Amino acid sequence: MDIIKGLDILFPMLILFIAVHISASTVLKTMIERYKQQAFVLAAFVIFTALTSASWAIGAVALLPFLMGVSIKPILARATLVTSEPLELDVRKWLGFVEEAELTWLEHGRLRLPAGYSFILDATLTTLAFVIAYNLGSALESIEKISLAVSLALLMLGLFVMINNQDLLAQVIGLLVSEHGLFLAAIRVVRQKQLAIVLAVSLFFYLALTLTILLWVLPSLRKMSKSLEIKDQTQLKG
Amino acid sequence: MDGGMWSALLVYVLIGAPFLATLLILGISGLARLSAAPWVEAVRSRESWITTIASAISFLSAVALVNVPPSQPLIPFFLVDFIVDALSIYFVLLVNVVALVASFFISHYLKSVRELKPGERKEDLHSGRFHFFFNLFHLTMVLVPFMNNLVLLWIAVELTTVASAFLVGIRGDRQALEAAWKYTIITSTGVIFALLGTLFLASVAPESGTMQWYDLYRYLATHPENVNKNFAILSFLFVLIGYGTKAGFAPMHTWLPDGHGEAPYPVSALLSGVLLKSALYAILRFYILTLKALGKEAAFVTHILLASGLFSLGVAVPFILRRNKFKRILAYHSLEHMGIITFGLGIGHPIALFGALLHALNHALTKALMFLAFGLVQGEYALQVKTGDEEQYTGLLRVMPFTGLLIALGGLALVGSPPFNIFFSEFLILWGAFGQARHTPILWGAIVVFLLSVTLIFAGLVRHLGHLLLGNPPGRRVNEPAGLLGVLFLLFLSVFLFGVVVPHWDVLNLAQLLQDSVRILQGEMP
Repeated sequence: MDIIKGLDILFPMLILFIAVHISASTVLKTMIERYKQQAFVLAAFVIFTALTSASWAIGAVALLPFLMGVSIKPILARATLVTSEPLELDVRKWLGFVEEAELTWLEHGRLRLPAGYSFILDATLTTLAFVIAYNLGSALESIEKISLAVSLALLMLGLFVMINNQDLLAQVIGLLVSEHGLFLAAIRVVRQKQLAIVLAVSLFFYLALTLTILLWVLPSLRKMSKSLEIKDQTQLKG
Repeated sequence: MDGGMWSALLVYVLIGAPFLATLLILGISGLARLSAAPWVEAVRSRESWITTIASAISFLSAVALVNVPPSQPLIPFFLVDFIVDALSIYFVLLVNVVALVASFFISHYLKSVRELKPGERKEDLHSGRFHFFFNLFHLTMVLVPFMNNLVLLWIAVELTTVASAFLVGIRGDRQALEAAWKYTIITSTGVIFALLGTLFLASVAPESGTMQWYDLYRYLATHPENVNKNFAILSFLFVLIGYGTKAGFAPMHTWLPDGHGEAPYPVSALLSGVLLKSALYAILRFYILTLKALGKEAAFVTHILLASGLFSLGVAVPFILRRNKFKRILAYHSLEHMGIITFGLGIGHPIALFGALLHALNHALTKALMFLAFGLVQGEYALQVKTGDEEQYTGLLRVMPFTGLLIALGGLALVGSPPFNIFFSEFLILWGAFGQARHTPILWGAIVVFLLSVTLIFAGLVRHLGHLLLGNPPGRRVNEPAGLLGVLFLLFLSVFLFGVVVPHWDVLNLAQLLQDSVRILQGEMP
């Protein structure tokens, strides 16, 4: 039982730690790698939750973050490259996109704030999330409170990543980190398991749609502005 | 057939019309790829007609639904229930009136865009794609008010983003793509908060075991002792931020000027006129639940709305006073009017609630008039003066006197001049505010801020209109399309009419519908 309790705390804390790492990264490639790891840890945590609560339906939901973890690099690579090639389900081609895009990712990912300030803000947001969760979640058990706190922290850190980074792709990563927070809350905080599954599936439906739009816009935007940086997307002002 | 079956049928037709139009246009586009036969081209050239007819059927069904309300608020449809009460019918009516009017202008927009800089575009605007997304956008906005399940409501709101983002970026140039990017990123981030708020609502009354609005409402009304008020507050805050982003509340409004400014003008009319109201509708559904959950502590919700409304109103002022592109100015007016509506809701007095709901319709009508009339100017300048440079949109009263006059009158309506509709609803909101201020003295301060803001905004728009209408014209008078002018004139008539009376005719008893909606907002069982 102690091991189960320990893992119940360890998994969310690991997810949080990776989120802080994403937020502090100054290279886009590292951010994407960390996001991938976070997706796999989240999938493992969902399977662990399914096993401890004996719910196979929740276990099936683990497939969603797992799929995101597997596909995130090729998807973002396709969006990074300016190519007029039609979309094909050729794995070798997609891996080729990743190899080519990684060179671009290595050159991007600068933060707006100095690393020290960013870290202080990360810590402040995380503390704030724990304060809110522990003050509002009086009806929750302590393990659930930790999950709620981590969910809120991921939401805020994701937003912070979107604001503090200078790249369009980092904005997408920030959105995805926030979405992980919501996924965690759906699985761990909502007590009605059927509802939790509906929420989690809705979330991935939303994610699929949002990514479709962003990945439709991004290559064209990059082609026209010749940049992946937010500061170069300033045609519209005032 | 009894009344309940009639209303169910009307709901299905109302949703089915844009759905079928979406499918039909998809089919026609697919056919056009396979064959270039003359009959295929002939059918393709009728896409705008299909869209307008679908919008008209949907609109007429909404009007009929006002007269044949269902005996039960829930109408089953496969695995889901549609909620059909006064509030949802009112918002569906609002969506449909603007969608119908905007649909008349699609072919004019497409024609003018082809005329303007044809060589600079890599690919011409695909008419099928535009019509497809327009109908899809209409369909998603009609679905929002009918969603009884709060998770499905969230999905429907998110679907509006999908359809509209493609429309915002459809021109494919740098500005349009930048606007589509910002719109998607900001509103998608916002709706994450809305889903978290929905999720917290599940923890407000976990024993209820439901996310159906109507069931939750009944549960909260009958089991106040089983309610977690902290989660109710947290849920409402997250929903307000989340759907508030989509509704264009400050400080999450930053997508508004880009989205409205760069979207094709019939789409701008829809974005400003009804998309913001769809998100507002979602907030209202949570507002009602939160009031029920909090009971005597519900003042928290109204105070938050009041502050949010005033803040949006205040933020709009400097942007409207500044010189800017006219469509962006109109977008900041959306921020102002969403602020006014939220202010009205925050007052909580029945008259103010009535005024706030009426203001949603009045703003939709007036803003549609302004966007469509200005779009007509852009289109005709592109077709006849051969310019897309906004600096040259001056002297409208001489170049396009009828459209110019409609813009002048619509502008006056927009800033709240009597005898137009917005003056009337703002007056009702203020009347409610004065009534409530006797019990809540802090409201006097809010009323002063409100009056100061709308006065400054009045001055700001008059300045912009002066430049647009009275400056030196770029050339000779241009022909104004009589049919579209007729549509604009009818729209203006409604702007004027709603300024003097709230219709309570046999064919459309809007006054009764509004009163019933106010009762629902105040917590009476639908």
